[in-house]
Amino acid sequence: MEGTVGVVTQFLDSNIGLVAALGKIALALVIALQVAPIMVWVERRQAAFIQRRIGPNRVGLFGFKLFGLGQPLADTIKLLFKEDFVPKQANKFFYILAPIVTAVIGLVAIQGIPLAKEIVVGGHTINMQPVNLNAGFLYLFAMSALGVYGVALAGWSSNNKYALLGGLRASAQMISYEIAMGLALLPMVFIYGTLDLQTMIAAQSDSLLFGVLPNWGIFLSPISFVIFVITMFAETNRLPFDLAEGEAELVAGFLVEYGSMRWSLFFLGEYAMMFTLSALTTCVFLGGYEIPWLSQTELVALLTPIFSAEPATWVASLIGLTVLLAKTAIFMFLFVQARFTLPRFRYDQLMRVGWVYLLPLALVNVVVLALIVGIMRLT
Amino acid sequence: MTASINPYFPILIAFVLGLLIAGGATAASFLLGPKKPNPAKLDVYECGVPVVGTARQRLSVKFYLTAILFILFDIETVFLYLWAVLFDELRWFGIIEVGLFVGTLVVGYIYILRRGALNWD
Amino acid sequence: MQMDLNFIAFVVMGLAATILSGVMITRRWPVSAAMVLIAVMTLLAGMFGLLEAHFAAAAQIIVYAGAIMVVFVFVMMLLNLPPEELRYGGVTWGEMVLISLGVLVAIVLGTQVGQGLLTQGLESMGYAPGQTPAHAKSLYFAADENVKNVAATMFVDYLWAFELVSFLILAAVIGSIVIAKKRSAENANAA
Repeated sequence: MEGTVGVVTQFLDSNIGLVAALGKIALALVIALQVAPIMVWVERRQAAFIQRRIGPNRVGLFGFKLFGLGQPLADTIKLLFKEDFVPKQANKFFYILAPIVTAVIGLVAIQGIPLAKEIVVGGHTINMQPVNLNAGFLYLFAMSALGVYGVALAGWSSNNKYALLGGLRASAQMISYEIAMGLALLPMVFIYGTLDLQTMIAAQSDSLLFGVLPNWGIFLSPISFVIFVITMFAETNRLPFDLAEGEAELVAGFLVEYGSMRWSLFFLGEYAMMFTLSALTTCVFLGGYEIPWLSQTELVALLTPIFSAEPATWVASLIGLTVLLAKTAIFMFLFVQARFTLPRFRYDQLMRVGWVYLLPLALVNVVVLALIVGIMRLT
Repeated sequence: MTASINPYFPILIAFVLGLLIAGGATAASFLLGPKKPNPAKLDVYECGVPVVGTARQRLSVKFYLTAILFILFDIETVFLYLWAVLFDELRWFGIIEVGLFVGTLVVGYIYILRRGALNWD
Repeated sequence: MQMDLNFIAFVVMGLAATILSGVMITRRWPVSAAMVLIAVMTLLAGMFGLLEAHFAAAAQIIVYAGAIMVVFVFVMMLLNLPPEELRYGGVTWGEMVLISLGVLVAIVLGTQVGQGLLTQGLESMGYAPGQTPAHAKSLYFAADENVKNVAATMFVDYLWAFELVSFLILAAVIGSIVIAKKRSAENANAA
């Protein structure tokens, strides 16, 4: 027994990079896979409340209806057992590939989010961001740039007029808003001086205005925040920007020929992307996993007397993760509220907002903030 | 001592795992679902009426224009990101140079607006 | 060239990219070819990353795989030409010559002669033997701050090129609008 434990710890010690990476990815994947069912429940229940009715209340366990929490599980089981068909006119390979592409990109994109600051295990400090590139959050841009293909491919491979049109429109919409998205986050790069999300979050634990406000991005550049939130809705094809998949306009747009598990894979990818972008918003604008006015290092210092040095980092990271999830939940809830409150944009209005209103606004925002920060910092 | 593996390796792991999950879900649905092919079920969906024409028709050139303009502004954004990381080192020189860069592109953007290239009707 | 995981991954990616490029030119549907090309671009980005050119990797995906290939895909979906209209039959003599030339160049580059030529070129530019550009010469920042190094090189060494790029982009904007507007004036198609 002693020997095996020694061997295992030896193995873990020498391969800590690999083990840590696997652990972090597994954690991020677990979060991503839970987001879809939870969001389905939130959507249906919130839709019901907004529309003055009760939500799902039929699915229950042992007679407890649990506010309809069993509904997503029932839905998943149903979708799994539905007939898995390929329409006769569809391009079979790409028809099967498109939902897989969307789901995989959603699951890979979420790896760029810093889940907590760091944990110390056996003397090794592990940065709690599954994918931490030199290029920082450009990784997330790259993933959302690739997300266009899932939609376009689905539309084309279905070989259906509605699907093709819906797919093209959705893709055109997504790329139009990507520019505004990139330009909206640009000022945060030179305000915080880094592309790395962990550094950005650490910089946000200082305080602004003599301690009244935390050094959050939303206070430093509110216009960026507004633009980014709007583009976030457009990137994920959510109302009020969901004309390309809207029920009344284009049947179901690019999804029209999809059923059962393929359809739910699309939504897995969509919800994962929603979560990723919401989490990116919190990391850049709302201080990420940090509690305001209490940086992670201070928190660890507070907890060290209670637990010992290493478990203190674990508890601090757990608290950080909870804080991150709570802040992200605000935006996820905003997604749901907006869906059932706002009317849908017409397609030409949608494109006009992206190119004619948001793009110049974002550019002007960059210029103005560059001048302000330049004057404040460089003179 | 900090862990050090190639930072791109987690992307590969995540990609493989994601592929397994998505592929597994597709395979599970394929194995678990009933198979009752039916010509009406497999036909093209057009709100229940018989199909009129094929899906292979020519569409508007506006999509192409949107995509081309997207490339150009995307390149601009990438260059701006390069400037943004060196904001403090390049100081006012950088701001002015990038201002010229953006200015030229704003001229292009005004041309786009005046020409009505983005009027989607 | 140590035989570690990075090297193996690089070789695998390179082989995959080469094979997929060959696959791409033999596809029946243009959209399939475009999708394979996207896969090739992503593999190239991975190879850039393994060579520690991190910014190039990110930019490759954001701009090339995420923007330029989108244009390819859009154009192919817009034209919607079935394979029957595209087939012209057989490989011409000119294409055979080009393909064999490509294979020849690949073989030459892979042998000692080719490697010798390459290292000679690198040494004449000031790199010590075995150094990759990520670790060599006058870097403005530490070797692992790739994005800052690229940015510094662009703004200090290649400033004129940077400014001229803006004019290049302006020309592209005007050109594409002129072409597209002319086309849509000739044949008015509904969206």
